Amino acid sequence: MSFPYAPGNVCATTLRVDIPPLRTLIVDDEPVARQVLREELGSFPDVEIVGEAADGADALREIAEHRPDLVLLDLEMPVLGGFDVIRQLPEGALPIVIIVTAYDQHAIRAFEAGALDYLLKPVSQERLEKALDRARTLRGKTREVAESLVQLSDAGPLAGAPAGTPHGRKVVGRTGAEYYLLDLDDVLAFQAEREIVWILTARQRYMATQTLRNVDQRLRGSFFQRVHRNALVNVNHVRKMSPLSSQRWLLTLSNGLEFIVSKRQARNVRQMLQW
Amino acid sequence: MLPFTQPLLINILGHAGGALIFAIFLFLLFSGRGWSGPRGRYLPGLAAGLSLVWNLGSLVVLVRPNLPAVWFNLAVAVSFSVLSLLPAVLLQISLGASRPLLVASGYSLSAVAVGMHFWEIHGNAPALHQEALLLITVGFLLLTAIAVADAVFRGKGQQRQGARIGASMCLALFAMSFVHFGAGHASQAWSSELIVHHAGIPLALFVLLQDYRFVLLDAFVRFLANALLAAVLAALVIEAAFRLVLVERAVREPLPEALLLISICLFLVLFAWLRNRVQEWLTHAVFRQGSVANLSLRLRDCPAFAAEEQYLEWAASTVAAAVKTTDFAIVRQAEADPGATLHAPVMMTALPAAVVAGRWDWAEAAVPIRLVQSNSRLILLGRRQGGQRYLGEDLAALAGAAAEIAGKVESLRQQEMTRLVSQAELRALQSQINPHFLFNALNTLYGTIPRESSAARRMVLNLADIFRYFLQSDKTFVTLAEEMQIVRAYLEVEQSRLGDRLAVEIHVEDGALPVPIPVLSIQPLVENAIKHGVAQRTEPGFVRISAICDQEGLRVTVENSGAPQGPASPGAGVGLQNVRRRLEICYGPAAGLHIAFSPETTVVELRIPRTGDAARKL
Repeated sequence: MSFPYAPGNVCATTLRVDIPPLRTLIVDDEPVARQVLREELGSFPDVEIVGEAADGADALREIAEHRPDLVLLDLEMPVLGGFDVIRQLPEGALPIVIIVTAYDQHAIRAFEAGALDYLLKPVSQERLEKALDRARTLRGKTREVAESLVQLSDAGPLAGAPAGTPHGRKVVGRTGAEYYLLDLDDVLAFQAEREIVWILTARQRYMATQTLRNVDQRLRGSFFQRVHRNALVNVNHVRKMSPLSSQRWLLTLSNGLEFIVSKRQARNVRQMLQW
Repeated sequence: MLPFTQPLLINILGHAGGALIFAIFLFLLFSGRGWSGPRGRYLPGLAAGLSLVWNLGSLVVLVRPNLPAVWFNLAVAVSFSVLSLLPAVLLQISLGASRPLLVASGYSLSAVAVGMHFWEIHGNAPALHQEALLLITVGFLLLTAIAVADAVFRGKGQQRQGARIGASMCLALFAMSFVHFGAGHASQAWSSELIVHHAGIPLALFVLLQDYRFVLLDAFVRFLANALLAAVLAALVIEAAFRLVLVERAVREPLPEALLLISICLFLVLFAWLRNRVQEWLTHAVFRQGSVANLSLRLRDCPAFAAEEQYLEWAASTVAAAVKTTDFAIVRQAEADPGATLHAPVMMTALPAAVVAGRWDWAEAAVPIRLVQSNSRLILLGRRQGGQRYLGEDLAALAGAAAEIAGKVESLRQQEMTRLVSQAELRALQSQINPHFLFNALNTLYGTIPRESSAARRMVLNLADIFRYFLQSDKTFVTLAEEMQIVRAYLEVEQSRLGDRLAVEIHVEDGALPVPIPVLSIQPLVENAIKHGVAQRTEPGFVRISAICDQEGLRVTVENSGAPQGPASPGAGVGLQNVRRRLEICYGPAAGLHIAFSPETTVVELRIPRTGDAARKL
């Protein structure tokens, strides 16, 4: 569903004539709810509605097609909910996401803790304006957008996965100026090299946006295990573990990468691998 | 001293006992109560009748030796003839219809013997009685041997085979006991042949009863056991009394008299005790009967069941265990008893054969569980262990159990109804306040209100904020700013309702805004103020709210126009009570809610001390 850009107040646009419009996608399964957002957004001249989606799958298609700057995303939708949409974002798509919810207490608490923006239904003009302000400031800051998406994917309930396994969870990686949302499942290891933390996948390595300590804290209880002062390893990708001298071990990952397990971590690693 | 050693006495006792036993047997047999069906009465009846006549005849011969010769001889001949016929009948009972040739030869043998007995009356040749008895003895020993060999070699129908061999052996023993008649009565009592002779009575009974269609068998055997026990004990006591010459001495001396009395009492006690033991032993060892007696009690003391079906299954298995059967089933009454005519437990023969045939052939008794609603059940019970029949008393106990089960099922149904109703109520209640429903509905309302009706849209937004605030159950403390936001929304809603009648003034110091306060501690005060000060009056009223933060702490006053009507009741409202109690809990006596009245206004003041636990709790 695509709707032509509804021109708003012309006087207001003159101030930001050089700034491209905020290309926005509305996702909600209720027609009236979409209509409310459409109407309210209509009074902001710098917002261009590029499409509307009535369910999660629809939303993913629209995002892939239009690459919107902003997605107003309803959490409660049949089959594919808002959090599922965030976790399954098409590769390379890093929209600013503002969550819209009627009464998802769990999500609201998570957003409050992470200081992320969210809107409560019915959405008033003032609050929508605040949220849009934040979206405008975020625009162009790919790293912050990516980080907020990771926070969002962490905030939702992990449907279909046993507790503690971060299926569908994301991590932000960078190569050069490009930021990527990486699936934790695909990550083999995090490795610190002086100031830089590398995210190693089977194909490529990315720079992490956080310190190894922060990553370790966030992933505590998942299938990532500290093997050394400078490395976190995805135990699902461990293929071999052979003893070295002085109670150290050598780990071999599925792509042939090797890590040394320090004496201090040896016990934890073996417990984790149940060896 | 009792003349226990006299053969005549022993014989009279033996025959009298035999006559009595067979008379009872015949009575039960034909009284119509003791049998499960008419089939199979004929042969046992004949055998019992013959045994009775034999015992009576012998009794007559023994007791009245002075009868006229004709009558005496006739009695002897009848007695002997009956005795000679008996083995043939018993043989037929034990063989059934399986070996007609053997049965026929048995009857021919008996016929020859009977002929010989009656011939003796005429011919007066005493040898004939002996010859006839010898013929019977030898002939039936032979036939019995053939029958046993036949049963062993045929080998099929394992269960019947054992009983048949047993019956045949008894028959053989019975036949052997005839030998004694050849030599006349022995002069010595308790001679071995006498014992063998009278052993014929219980042996014949065993043959009769192995058919096992006798429902009152246990009553019969119990009676026999009681009588036997009483006879043995009485004989022992009398014997002892005469040995010790207690009776004669008791007439003269008080001590033996007392001893006699005591020993009679002890004897009665002993008899009662022994009798109970014997009956218990019979119950467990001979009849292998489960105790149906406290079945109702056991059913009442049941584990907790949620579902009716589970309970029924348990109850049926309990009943089955009590009557000692391994086969049972629960069926709908409509299936097995189309007319729903059953009210009490019955034997399966009472049910229409067409319904039972093929499906429940194994079942022997049916216990209806009558329920108030339809859907009554039948518990079908199979063959009992040890071959015991369902007796009258069992059926009565089962009726009690059935009533118990039906009562329990009814109460389970009642419980389930109550549970379902409360579930339904709970569901209704939850859906009334389901927040998703509420806020989505408000959102839809908001969307359907035209954008031009901004006041209406504003009202929906305010309502959504207020409800959301009310529904946040996880917060205990909020900042004053948050609370005031809701108070404003609330006042806005009330203003659109009351219009010009409500004037609102709000003054909150900036310094007071971040102070933590218990959630919903000011809104109830405002609600109260509007309710009493404005809504109930016709003239315009006002609500003034001010919040000041000073050295002592936070002070919030809510002032409304008008004094309370009627007797002043400070803090009477439930909402105020609630706030006051929470302030007490959070801050102790330093905090509080004070109400002041003047003719024109009512002022409620809320104080929160500066240094409290509140800041930490937030």
